[in-house]
Amino acid sequence: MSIREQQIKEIRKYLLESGLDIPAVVDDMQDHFCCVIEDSLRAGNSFETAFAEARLLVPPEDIREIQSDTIYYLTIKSKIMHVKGIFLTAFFSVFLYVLGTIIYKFMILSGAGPAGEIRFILQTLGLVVFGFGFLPLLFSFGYKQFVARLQA
Amino acid sequence: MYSKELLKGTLKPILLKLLSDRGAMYGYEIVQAVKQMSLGKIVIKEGSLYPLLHALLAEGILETESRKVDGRTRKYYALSKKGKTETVSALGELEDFMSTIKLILTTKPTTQL
Repeated sequence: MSIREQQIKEIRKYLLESGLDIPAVVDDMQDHFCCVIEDSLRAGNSFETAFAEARLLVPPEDIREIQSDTIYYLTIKSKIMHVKGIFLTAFFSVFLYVLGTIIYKFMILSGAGPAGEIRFILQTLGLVVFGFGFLPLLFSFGYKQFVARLQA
Repeated sequence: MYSKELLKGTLKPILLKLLSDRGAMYGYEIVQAVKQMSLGKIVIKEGSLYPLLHALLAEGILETESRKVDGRTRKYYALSKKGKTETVSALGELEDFMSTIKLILTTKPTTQL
């Protein structure tokens, strides 16, 4: 016993209104609902009763949880990489800056080579990593977190 | 029915084993198969199944094929090449874990640590 096109649309509308908006998961859940309802229709229930039972089985709160869990699973790896990037760029920018200062002091004391140029190169590299690596990564991470909190 | 906490870590190997034995399956079919095989003791909730299926899909462990069935899209999930390798290691780990748990539960204390 299969469900009519209009009834399939009604199921999809329920899923979308409950906050599910990942197309692939909407298709999965729509088919899941249809299967549950078809089982109930075979048992002699009307579509309305079967759909009401299915909604009790998977209420809007559960649908929102499916949405947020799926997003979590799909983005957790990139989030970890993002945080790693923030820590690494922070480390290298500080490391290069401090290294420039140490080498400069050492060379001045020993009277060897172009101390000022080496310090300039290392500290500039440190600032470049800070300005074009650390800060953009930090701001984009903060922005994504802010948007996620707004959508939650 | 077993608690959610107990099922949490075992869902992935159960899913991989099922797909390895039966080939491509869709979500509702997976839920029903596990329920039937476990004599109703394991009922996979939609909230656990679909996020996991999509995570495994993103990791390249599963692949999908969409088919039109009675006016709607049905997605069949199957193991990819990477998924077949992953299944062997996931099942091996689960079996090892189960024997360790059994060991803990059946070993009688002899000496005090």
